[in-house]
Amino acid sequence: MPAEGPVNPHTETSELVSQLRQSLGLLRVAFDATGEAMLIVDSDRFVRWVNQTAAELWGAGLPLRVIGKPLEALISFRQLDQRLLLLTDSHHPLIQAQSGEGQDLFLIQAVSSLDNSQADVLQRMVAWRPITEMGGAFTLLIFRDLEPMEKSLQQQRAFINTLAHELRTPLAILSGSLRRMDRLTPMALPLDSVLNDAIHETKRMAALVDQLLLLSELDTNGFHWNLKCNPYDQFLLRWMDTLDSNHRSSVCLQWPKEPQQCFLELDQIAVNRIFDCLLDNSLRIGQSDVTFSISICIKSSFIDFNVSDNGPGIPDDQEIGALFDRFSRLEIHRALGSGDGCGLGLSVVKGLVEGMGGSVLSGEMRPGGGASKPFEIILRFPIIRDLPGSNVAQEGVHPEVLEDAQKDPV
Amino acid sequence: MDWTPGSVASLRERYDLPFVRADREGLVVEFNDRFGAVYGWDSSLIGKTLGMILPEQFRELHHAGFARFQITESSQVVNHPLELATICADGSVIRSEHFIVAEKDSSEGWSFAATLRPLEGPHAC
Repeated sequence: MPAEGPVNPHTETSELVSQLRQSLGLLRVAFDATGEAMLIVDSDRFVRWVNQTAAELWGAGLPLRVIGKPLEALISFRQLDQRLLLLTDSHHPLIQAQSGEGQDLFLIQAVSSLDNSQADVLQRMVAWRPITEMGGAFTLLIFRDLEPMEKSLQQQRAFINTLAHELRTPLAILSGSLRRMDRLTPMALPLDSVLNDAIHETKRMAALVDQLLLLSELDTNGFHWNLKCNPYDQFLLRWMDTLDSNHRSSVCLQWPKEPQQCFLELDQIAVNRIFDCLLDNSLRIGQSDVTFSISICIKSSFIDFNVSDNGPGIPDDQEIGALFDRFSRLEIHRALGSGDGCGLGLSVVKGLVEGMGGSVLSGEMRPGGGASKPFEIILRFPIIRDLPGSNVAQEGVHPEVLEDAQKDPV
Repeated sequence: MDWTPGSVASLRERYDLPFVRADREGLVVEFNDRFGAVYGWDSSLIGKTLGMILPEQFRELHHAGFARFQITESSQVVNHPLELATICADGSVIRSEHFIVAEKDSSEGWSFAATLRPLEGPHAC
């Protein structure tokens, strides 16, 4: 039996280092071969690592020209509406990365070319991922050029946006002219009815165009948010103030038994639009004696607005979530002779809620009186813990808030 | 451009309707008491862009239309009743019928005026 020879520790270490170097080299080749630009920044926003694609874009091909520099000295982030994102902006990828991983579309511009033409601006899907495994807080940023299919989708959305914009003016003229005709020219019965139909259909078309435009703005990050940090009840009461007495009498607000001062960061106009749309749906489908209820439930890190009505409900075999699909309409509501909505309202609600950091959830599945279940949904928004006036950016959502909200399902 | 001398003055005389006038740059130069009563605006609106009384999503269109008018001196929206949302001072919205006229003055250039007929709310007419 051959005796084992003595192991040379120096040789073994040398082999390990060699293997490690080879592995790292292969990793480097793999990362450099990808078409996606990648970089890692540390908690002080200094770039600690880049792949070759990022170096080509922002370091004239040399990683060393990028590594060690602050991110803001290399690139600037803009929203798709060209708005420059400051490092304190809640939409900035590094701020969003504090709440976990995610991705969004941005315009990226090299700081060295800020004075140059728009040709230097790149539209990229930016993904961010916090790295906590390495004994420090790092963030991986990945800049992905859109695939042809995604580009096509973006173009389609841009087309819808332009189309809706272009349709607005003629529709406003058509609608205004028909109303004036109705006011100034008394018509005999059949013609009167025809004119009313024309007014009604024009109004419906204008609403459809408005909703299409809003959805396309939400899809393409072109919606202008006016987020304000206010007590949650203020948002609801301000919406109630906009209602006429008839509509107000249909609304039943149920406040928490133990009142608490909680702040939400919402856009009042978007809030109005959300509840207007839900109320309009309930009144249209439920007819005259419907009660539209909003019950508020405050949890540790978020507030639920439980929205329900006592209308005919939806069929038991119908998923409530499917109602939020675009152009989704229930046959039962059409049959009631009242469902002349265009099927975009609930999609708009979902888009607006999610655009403000909230989520739309299906309510409890209480059994209905027959073959249907009551319409009930939950609009959930994270509570803002930092009081207004504090130095902490109020536009941002506290990381723990989002974390808790994700952990705490209904 | 299809316009009639005196069209702004004739709109101004419609005391029963809210009236607002803007200069060639689209900045508000005057409005009547009815306009203030219906939409809640006060004198702080003077000198501000007309876009203030339009929904945010319309402002871009409005500014583009104004810019186009400076070049072409023609507009689709002048002399037609338009049904548009109007923003009140408190941010609420009232659907209104706008009737816009334009008039050219030899010294001040173009001037734009509109009556707004509220179609909903307590002042609807």
